[in-house]
This record gives sequence, C-alpha cells and structure tokens, in this order.
Amino acid sequence: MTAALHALLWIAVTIGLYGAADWLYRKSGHRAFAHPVLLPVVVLIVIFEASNLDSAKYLASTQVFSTFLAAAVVGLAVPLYRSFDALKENRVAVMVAIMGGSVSGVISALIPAWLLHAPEGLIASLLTKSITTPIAVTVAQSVGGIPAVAAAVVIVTGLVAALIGPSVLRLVGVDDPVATGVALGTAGHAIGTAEAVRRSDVMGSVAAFAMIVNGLATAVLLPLIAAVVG
Amino acid sequence: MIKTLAGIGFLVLLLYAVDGIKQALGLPVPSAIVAMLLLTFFFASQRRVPDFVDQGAKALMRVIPLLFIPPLVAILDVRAMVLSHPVVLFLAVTGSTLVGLVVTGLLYKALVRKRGRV
Repeated sequence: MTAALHALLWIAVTIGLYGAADWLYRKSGHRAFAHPVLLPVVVLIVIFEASNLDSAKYLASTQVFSTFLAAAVVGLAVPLYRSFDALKENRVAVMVAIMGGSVSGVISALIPAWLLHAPEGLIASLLTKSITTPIAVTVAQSVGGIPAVAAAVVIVTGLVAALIGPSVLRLVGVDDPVATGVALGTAGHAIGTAEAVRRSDVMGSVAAFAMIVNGLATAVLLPLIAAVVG
Repeated sequence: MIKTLAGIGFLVLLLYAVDGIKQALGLPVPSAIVAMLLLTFFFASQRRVPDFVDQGAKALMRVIPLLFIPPLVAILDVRAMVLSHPVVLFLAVTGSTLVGLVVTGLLYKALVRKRGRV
C-alpha cells in the first residue's frame, strides 16, 4: 500500500471512530465515560497492542491533525479577544485566581511525586501539566523534562478537567460561568477551554484568557525557578 | 460552509507564516501561541472579529476532541515511563488537576464576593 493511501486510511478510521463515539456520547446524554475522545483512543490502543501494526506509522499518517490542533489554538484568539469585555470589572480577581490555581496545581502534583521518589525527569515533566501542549513541550525541555511524557500528562490533565471539572466545581459551590471558565482555562488549558466554549460564550472567553495567562506566566517563570533551584 | 473553510484556511496559513518566521529567526517560542496573540492584537485594533475567522475558529473548537486522538495514542510511545510510575502520574493528572480547578474557582468566587459583586 502506498504511503498516501495508508495515511488516508488511518485518517478515515480516526474520523469514523470519532463519529461513532460522538453519536454514542449524544445518545447517552453526554456522560463523561462516553466522551468522544476516550472511546477512539481506547479502540486504537487496543488495536496497536493486539496486532503487529505500527503505531509510529499511525502517528505519521495523522500528522495533519496536529496542524489543525495548532490552528485551533490560533483560533482561541476569538474568545480571548471577547474576554476583554467579560473581564472588565474583575480583572484582579481573575489574575489572582489564575495564579493561585496554577501554583496549587503544580505543588499538589509535585508533593506526591517527591514522596514517592519519582525520577527527576518525570518530576520536571509534571511541572507543565496545566499549560497548553505547544508551550508545555517547549518549557518541559528547558527544565529537564521529557517532552513526550510532558505532552501525555498535559493532554490527560486537560481531559480530566474537561470531563469532570464542571461537576466537581458545582459540588464545591462554583456555578458562576466566569468562575467556571477561569478554573477550566487555568487547570485544563486548551481542552478545558474547548469544553468551556461549548458551554457558553462568556465561559469560553474567560477560559481562553486564563489559559493564555497561565501558559505565558508558567513559560516565563518556570525556567527561572528551575535555574535558581537547580 | 465556504466561510468556515476560508476561516480554517486563514488560521492554518497564519500559523505557517508565524512558524516560518520563527524558524528563520531561530526563536524558541511556540508558533501557535504567538500567532494567537498577533491575531488578538489584530482584532483589538479592528475592534471586531471578521465573520469568517469567527466561524473557522468555532468549527475547529468543536472538533478539538477529534484532534487530540493521535496525541493520546502517542502515549503508547512513553508506555514504559507510564507503567513504571502509575501512581505518581495518576495523582498528578487527577488529584492535582482537581485541586487546581477548585482553588481557582473558589479563589475567584471569594475575591469577587469581598468586593460586593457576584
């Protein structure tokens, strides 16, 4: 089979699995376990584990997805621009909340890692868990993390935030769209922001703002802290 | 439909343009973030978002879960690391993510209430 045909086939399989999962997700009333990203990933991982198909070839074939993913991050400029209005009054509260959430998120990941004696490369890969993949991979490298592990941690973190974040926030009494948006953008970067965009315009705008502020602040501060500590 | 495709095309081209400049200058910055910031400044200078860009961005946002499937499958590449430290990783991506979420949400709520507005 030629490479181009091979690539098209994997792209079609991925979109097909996503389409089926999305249908199930809507049928099940948006239950977290049926989220359209989970089922296709599980099916594909099982396929690669059970057969002698090469997952590296799959990843090369679906390279185009990462271009569109990066383009989607560029597109977050739209909610980001609109957030200026939504945030007019409470900019200080938003900034403090982002910083608090960002620092507490990193520290609460580091404490168990230290207690369980995780290797340094892994610890460094956890530092970037709440910032969007393109920034995380760049920063993780500069503080001695492993880019592939950092990327995986970032993605699963975002997924957890998007899947159970809104219900956990409701449980602790946070149901205001601005507060939910700030939390989803700070802790769940682009995936959390996408979930916020789906829920409401205000929530999405605020989440995009939080994601950017957290991402840029972490990108600037983390290498400095690592340089001082290390 | 045509507007949406034009919007997606525009975002991809902008990304490539910024990436090209980045490569040429050897800058260690993430292209997507720089492109997003440039686009935000452009919207601010125009005081509006062109309709086709708005539609393209919305369309991409809707399929973000689809776009994350390959990078998640790529976790297979770091399987050894994941399997050797499952507890640390599990706590980092679940417990600490929820801590970050809850602290952010509650902090915002507390600060806003203090100033007498919700």
